[in-house]
Amino acid sequence: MRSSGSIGVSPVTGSIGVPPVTGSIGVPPVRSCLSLPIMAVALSAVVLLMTASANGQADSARRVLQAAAYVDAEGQIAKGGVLVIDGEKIVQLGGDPPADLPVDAYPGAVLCPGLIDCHSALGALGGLSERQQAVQPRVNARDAFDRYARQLRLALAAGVTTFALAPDDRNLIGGQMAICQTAGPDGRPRLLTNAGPLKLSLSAQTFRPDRDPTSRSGALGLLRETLEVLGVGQSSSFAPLGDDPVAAFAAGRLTGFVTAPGGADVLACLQLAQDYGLRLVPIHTVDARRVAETVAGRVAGIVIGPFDLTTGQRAAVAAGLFARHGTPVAIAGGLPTSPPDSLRLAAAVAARAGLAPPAARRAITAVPAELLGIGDRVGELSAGHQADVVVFSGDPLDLRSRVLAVYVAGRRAYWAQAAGEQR
Amino acid sequence: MTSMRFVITAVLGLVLLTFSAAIAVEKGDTEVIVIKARRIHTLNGAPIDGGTVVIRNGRIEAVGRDLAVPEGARVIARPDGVVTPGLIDACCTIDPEIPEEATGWPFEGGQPSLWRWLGEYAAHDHSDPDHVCTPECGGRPVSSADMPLASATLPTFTWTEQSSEVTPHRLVIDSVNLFSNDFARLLKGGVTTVYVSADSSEVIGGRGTILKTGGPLSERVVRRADAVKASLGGDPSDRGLRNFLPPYYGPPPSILTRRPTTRMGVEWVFRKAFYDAQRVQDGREIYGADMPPRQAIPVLLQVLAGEVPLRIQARLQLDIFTALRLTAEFNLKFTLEEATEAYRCLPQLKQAGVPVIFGPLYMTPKGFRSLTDEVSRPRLNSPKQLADAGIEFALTAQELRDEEGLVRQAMLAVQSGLTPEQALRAVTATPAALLGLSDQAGVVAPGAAADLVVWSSEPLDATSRPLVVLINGRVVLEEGN
Amino acid sequence: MRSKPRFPAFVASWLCGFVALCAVAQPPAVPPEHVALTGGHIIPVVGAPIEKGTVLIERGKIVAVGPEVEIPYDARVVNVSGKFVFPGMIDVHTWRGLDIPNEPRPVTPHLDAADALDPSQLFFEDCLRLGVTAVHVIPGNNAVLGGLGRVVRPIGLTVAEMTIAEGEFLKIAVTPRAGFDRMVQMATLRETFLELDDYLAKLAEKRYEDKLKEEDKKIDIGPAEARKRGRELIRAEDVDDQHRNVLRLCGGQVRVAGEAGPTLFKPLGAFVYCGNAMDVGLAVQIAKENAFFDRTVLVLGGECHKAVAELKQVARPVVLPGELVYRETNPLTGEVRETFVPKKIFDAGLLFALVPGPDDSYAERMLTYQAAQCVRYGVPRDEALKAITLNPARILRLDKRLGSIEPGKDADLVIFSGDPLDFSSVVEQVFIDGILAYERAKDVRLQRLLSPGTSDSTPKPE
Repeated sequence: MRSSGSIGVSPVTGSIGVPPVTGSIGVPPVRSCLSLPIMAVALSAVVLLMTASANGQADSARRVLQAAAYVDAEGQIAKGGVLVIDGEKIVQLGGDPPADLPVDAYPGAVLCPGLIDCHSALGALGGLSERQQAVQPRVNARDAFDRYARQLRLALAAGVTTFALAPDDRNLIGGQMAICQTAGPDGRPRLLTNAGPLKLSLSAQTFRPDRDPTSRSGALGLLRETLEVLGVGQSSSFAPLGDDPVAAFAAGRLTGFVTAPGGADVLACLQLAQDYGLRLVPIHTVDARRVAETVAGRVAGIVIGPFDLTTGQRAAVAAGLFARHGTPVAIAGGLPTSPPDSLRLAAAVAARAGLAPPAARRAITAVPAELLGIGDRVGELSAGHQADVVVFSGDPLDLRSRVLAVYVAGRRAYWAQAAGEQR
Repeated sequence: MTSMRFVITAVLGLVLLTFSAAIAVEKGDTEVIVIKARRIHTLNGAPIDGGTVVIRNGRIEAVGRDLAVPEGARVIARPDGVVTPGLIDACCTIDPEIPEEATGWPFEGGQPSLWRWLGEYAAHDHSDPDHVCTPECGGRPVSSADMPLASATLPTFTWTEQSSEVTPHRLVIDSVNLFSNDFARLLKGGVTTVYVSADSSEVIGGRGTILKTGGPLSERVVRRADAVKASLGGDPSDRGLRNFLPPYYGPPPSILTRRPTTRMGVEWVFRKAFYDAQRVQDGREIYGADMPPRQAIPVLLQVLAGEVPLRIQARLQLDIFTALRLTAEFNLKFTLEEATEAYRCLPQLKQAGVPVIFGPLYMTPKGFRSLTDEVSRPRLNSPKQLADAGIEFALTAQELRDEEGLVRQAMLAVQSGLTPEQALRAVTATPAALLGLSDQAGVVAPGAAADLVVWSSEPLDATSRPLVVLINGRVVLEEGN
Repeated sequence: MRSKPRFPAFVASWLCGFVALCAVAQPPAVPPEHVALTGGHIIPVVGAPIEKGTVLIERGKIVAVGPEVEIPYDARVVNVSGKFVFPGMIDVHTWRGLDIPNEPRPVTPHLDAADALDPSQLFFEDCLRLGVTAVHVIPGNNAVLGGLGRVVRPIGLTVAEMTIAEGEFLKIAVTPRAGFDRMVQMATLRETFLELDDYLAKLAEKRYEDKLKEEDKKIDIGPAEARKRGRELIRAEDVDDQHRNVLRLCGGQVRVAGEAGPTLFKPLGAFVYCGNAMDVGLAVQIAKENAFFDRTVLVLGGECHKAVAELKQVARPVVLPGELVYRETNPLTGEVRETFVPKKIFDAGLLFALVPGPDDSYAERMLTYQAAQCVRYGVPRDEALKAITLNPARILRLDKRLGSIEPGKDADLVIFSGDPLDFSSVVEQVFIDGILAYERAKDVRLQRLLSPGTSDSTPKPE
């Protein structure tokens, strides 16, 4: 018996409610045994009460998290980690907590907003690029999201609470990203929203010999044609059902994550953004040195990474260069291809190579949230935000720090002590 | 108290303003530069000995002898130097330099740029055990036994559009990497403006672009979309035999990828494209498997109307005659590119009034052309023959650099008969005229853009090198005194 | 004031026509006794240029050079006024002329380039076209110890006719050959020399035994003593060809157990190929260990400019690579750094020679263009000209015969239409040993590249 109220349907788009557990299955009534149905009814009532109370308990939980320090809105580590959670949200940060609430105490620990991987393939079942055509605007990554994937548990244990499941780099317009969480109010991974940013790619993998486009000039030409067709109000050749993400992107209402490995690709992005009024975020940029200055102030942000300990100097300094010129920097983890800890590791590598530590902490929390358009809900420890908190035994950038516990939507989804992983 | 605060902030603000104004005055376009050299080749009259060039706001203000030096001007004095306009390559190919991580290039020893790889790979005999591979070849010796390599290990992308043979709606500037080191190499050779042309893999390819080789990014693009390039001869069909580079490698095209495989096919595609464009203009339907893409039609109509120029690459005499015939059919004007065998059709070219962008000169052909069969009858003195026939021609180095770059092409042309004045003109004023930049580039005259090169001696000497290069009045290259 | 008995023009042209056929001349059995080149601007390379002078050649040797030279009445006078007279240039290190650059076997000291020289190769025709009158043909870089080289003229029907001097240099490569690494390369080299010592020791022992046998005596001493005594008994014909050249490389003197024995052969030198900077040290080490350091010439790769301090200390002559500019890309910033190698080498005071550039280049194939590039980057003109004439002659130990226009040297001369470093000058005539070996006007292949298109039928377009 599951405690969740639905079977197989996402709670966000509507739940179907508790299916009846009694009755109408076709048990012929026994004339002399009235006790059987009565027993069944009583049993189900008890079960219902239990589940209801359990749900109610989850819904009305208020608790206090107490630690030594916390990561504040600027990414600095501030003293006094006191957090009050009510239901799914944070209601109070710092100060004195109400006295009568249960306290989860983590002495010496640092509270950090849940880590956010803004470009990953976590929990994907099957491929993430539909390669028939280079332009696939109606494809939505949520359809590839497998909530039962084991990777999600590992990611959760590493502190990743939110991630964006993205189509990969092999299509010009790969589809729409889905923003998911590794746990939810019921403890299970869930889809936060299927209306994530649009994923585009100008990488060389987009060019294929057997279909359009086969070169960057073809790619950019095709992209411009797609945008212009929408601009003049003609219906696109793709089924115009409901909210067309490319139309929203063309109108500047939806962010586009564009894979732009080289400096020339980034320049092409800037030109497109300028010509059509788009909101673009270049990702996977390798040629940082040449474009850091040009990009400043002209993009919503930039996504670097993924990194690991073998990342060369050339890529690692990219984050610091961009930040120095004032561009918000987010770091992608690239899970699950990279190990679960790689998001923190990437931030540490970037910090070592020149990104200021507060910016490095924000690069895996607040900035990705902002770029994904969910910055009002997650990414920061502040009143009104969703209670996604990771409790580290020290500075999240310090590789010696461990994850002690992870809270998602107010519920402790992972607890190192219980999982027997305490040293 | 608040009024005091107000006064202080106002004063500070004023001070800040004057500072920033002063800084703005010091650098940027209002700077005046004066160049003094032993000789100036103006390309606008006789060369001036002991002359001076005055530059203001990125443009040449005055050229002459004994000019007054304005106050506050920065003086660049090179007593032995010779000044020429910045060289203009009218048919250049820029090395795309795709970043290593983007290609997954598997070879050790650094990322060769794909263009150079192709040229160097074709040039070197890799089965020669004495051949020591450089990073340009791919970083390690590749024996002939390794070819053809599995498709997974070679880059499968192209920088040329191959989705159709008729793509005049594509822009070459989209595939140019403005950060490529190739621009620095061009600059070191004294080339300040280039016309980047599409390559020859399509019958009717994309529109070229005119770029400066140095200076701030915002000033690099002179013209975004220029002429449409058509290629006749074997190139479009050779490249079409295989779907991706390097040539002669990869699976043959399937029935779903129809391409011309012969010169007849290439001609057919060219004619069909323009014919169908005319049909559309007349309001009639177009049909058939070789229809040009619908986005191509508007551009083709502009070419037919003469609003967009046309260039045709043709090497053999046969292909040049085909070009003349096809363009006569559609009443098109065009410029001829490469034209290895132009010397065999001088009267026809002269009569049709077709300008020629000739080059490069070589003893042994390199790059893609070396893999074709169209380079077996070159003539070293083609430039001289073109000049003697009275045909307007410019010299180009295409993808060659350094000792075979543009200024050396002019040097080679002089060795086989051209006069130094003719050769210098063919790399400055004439390409400027062919690109429609007549008074703005290719001359040292008042009003022209200040794109200048100061050479260490006469530019076409083997012993000359650029000492100072200016683009739009900015010094982009300067050797220490 | 100059007495100039002149042959009638038709006789002169008849002689020229006779000797120059298809650009490759067949040297007649007997060269003309006296030839005088008059009126040209002479660049002797040694000494000041002579604005208008005469070079007098007698039986293939230069006998007089100067502004005023007395010309014998029977001399064939060639008027080169308005032209420049330059020494024939020398290609000091090339495998061209052989059919393949290297044997697959790593150590082949017994091979001789002369056995594979093909006089009919187009390469030699190109040499004449480019004004190269002496070529040192030597096996390529893809071996450990290659064979013996040979200095040849680019004219002649047989190798014997072409030969200027017998081979004096073996080819050694320190840079590993394709597919192998340096440890194996150096180990193979050392093994070769150790093997020679071993061989000589055994040979000495055998010779001593043979001598005892002759005298009907029995062997009465231990092997070590036998070797010492047998050392003096080794004769030249005892050394087999597999070891002869290696022995010559080490000085030609037999050494057994470290002690000197008879000198059997003339020593050989070595051209040692160092592709990378680190190879210079290894080359010097091997050369010093085996007593051929004083006869070593270092053939450098582009990266070796980084070892210029070591090269300066070592002070051996060097042969520069064909590509004169060495480029490196900074992997972090992507910037390209260029170094002009000859200037660095020149500044270190080394004796250096230039070689032609890549075969598929246009201008760099010309040694004069290579010299012009050096001048471009600051090498003095005279040094640059020496680097293509006298320096290679010195390196090949033929400076008594080649490399400059001086009395007593071979009459290898190039007539340029203008100053050699001026690119618009062309090679008009080439004299080798006083014989007119090349004439541009009669160079059919070159003239074809300069011919108009009307010779072919030009169809009218439709």
